Amino acid sequence: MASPAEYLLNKILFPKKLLIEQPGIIINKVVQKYGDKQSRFRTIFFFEEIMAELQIKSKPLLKNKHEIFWTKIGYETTKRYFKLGSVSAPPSILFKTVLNYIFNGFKGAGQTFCEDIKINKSIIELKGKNNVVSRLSKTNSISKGITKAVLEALTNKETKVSGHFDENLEIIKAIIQDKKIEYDDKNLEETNLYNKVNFQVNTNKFKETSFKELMKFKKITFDENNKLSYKNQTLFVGEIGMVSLIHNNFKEENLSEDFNKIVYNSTVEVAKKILLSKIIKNNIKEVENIISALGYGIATYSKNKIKIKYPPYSKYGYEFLIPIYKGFIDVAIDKKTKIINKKIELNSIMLEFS
Amino acid sequence: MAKKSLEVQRIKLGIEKFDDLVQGGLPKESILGIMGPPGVGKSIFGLHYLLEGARNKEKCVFLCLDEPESNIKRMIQGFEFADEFNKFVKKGKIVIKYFDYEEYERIYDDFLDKINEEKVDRLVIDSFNCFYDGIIDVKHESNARKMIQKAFRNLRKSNLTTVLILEKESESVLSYNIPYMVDGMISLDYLDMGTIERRLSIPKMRWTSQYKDSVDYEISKSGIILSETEEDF
Repeated sequence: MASPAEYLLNKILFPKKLLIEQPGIIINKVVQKYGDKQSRFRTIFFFEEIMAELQIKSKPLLKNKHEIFWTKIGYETTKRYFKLGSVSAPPSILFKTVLNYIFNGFKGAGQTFCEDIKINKSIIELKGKNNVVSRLSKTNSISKGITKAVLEALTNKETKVSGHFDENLEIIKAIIQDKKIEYDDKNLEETNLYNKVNFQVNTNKFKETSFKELMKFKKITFDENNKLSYKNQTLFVGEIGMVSLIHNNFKEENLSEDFNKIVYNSTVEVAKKILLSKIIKNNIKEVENIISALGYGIATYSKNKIKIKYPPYSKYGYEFLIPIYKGFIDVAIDKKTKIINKKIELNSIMLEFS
Repeated sequence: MAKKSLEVQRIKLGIEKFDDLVQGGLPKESILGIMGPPGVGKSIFGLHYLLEGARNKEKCVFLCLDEPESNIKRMIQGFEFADEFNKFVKKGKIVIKYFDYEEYERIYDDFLDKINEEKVDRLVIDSFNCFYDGIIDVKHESNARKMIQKAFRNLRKSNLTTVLILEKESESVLSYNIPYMVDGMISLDYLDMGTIERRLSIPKMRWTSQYKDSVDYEISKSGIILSETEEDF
């Protein structure tokens, strides 16, 4: 039970979080309870299996860079999120309360690596089972990166993390050091286009399905581990920068093609489990609605072309979305296609298939 | 004696399994809304309601404001209960009145003002949107509000139980506070993921502990068929 002080802090200090969803677009809005400060994040629901496959299949490609690569992903994604949200370090007296608040927020998104938190001065230990993605990939690099970013944001001090897996149990140990943060996060800032392209749009006039409708019709449900899933395929929620940063990092390692291949192949595997109708028209309709409900934009497929309005924008571009759209379409039409034409504009994508 | 007077009398909607969702039936002498987008079967719910009333020897009136007579007749003919329904219409147990969309004000003179004299037990107005849709200026909006409130007052004065068919697409449904004014709301919706799925929910039903979850339903030749609920209720 929360103490009176914690209760008051919850009421005053911690912002209100709202998930605003309309066809094709999901926005995570964080609003200060008292004051006019607010932050908005363009958000998508991503299939766990696709992310896990990226981690698994990238191991032979990245070799001994694999752990650092994925720790960096977790770190940069979280740092970017805090930057977009203008999160700053609280007074040290509130450190424990704010830390618990943040990790509780992660649990809601399927990140259960931080179920159990132990704070002993500058040493923090986290334990948790069934953490989304890492429970499949058996790699807790992302969780370590997230932990490092969170602690550095709350303390403004460099943090060292280590950890391992014990069966399904993820164990992380973080030590807050008495020195300034080394990482320069200016490169994680978004441009003005992020707000303009993602949030100044109203898609409620479109007939495509929204996330809320899929929940209402019990197509998206909580599974026995309290994870969100669509037709038994686990989903996790994240700001669009998360996935586009992964693609960007693959690109920096000259592994763009590998990224596309892994994402496409794993999307196909997921799509095969979801698109169960023998009628192509029905599968196409389902794909259009999944794309819309999970926040990937408003999709229309017709005559070998898919057009997506209002895809989730970040400064890293839309390239990482293409193998996802293609994977779903190929399974829907039961044909392995080739992209013969591509048109990418600020708030739309068109792909033409052979 | 005081305890008895607090018991809510209920009447059946006429769709199997529905009445179990609302403690045995709709509250008598209430005003209920059936809301949803086009094509979900709102009018068909209305037909079931009227047919059930006629079977119970109640006087039932169907006010048609959106569709012409030919469309309504064609709709009724599509169901297995058409013969029975039409027999009740012939005998005067179900009275169907047609009004043009733009002549909704006539409804007051022709019907609503005289509703007590008519001794109607069940009334369906399909759709109630005509009272306010298309209003474009403040003067007419103020008139519309007055007419809606007058309609509700008249409907409450009499001893009838009214079902208002409400088009969900209309933003006016919310701006005129209709969901707040009615005693109950049955919300219908559909999902098109290649095959159409329909679900109903009962977000509001005064004086009733209604089923809190939503329920699948189908439209067939028998009319509306509800699926089994997920738990005993």
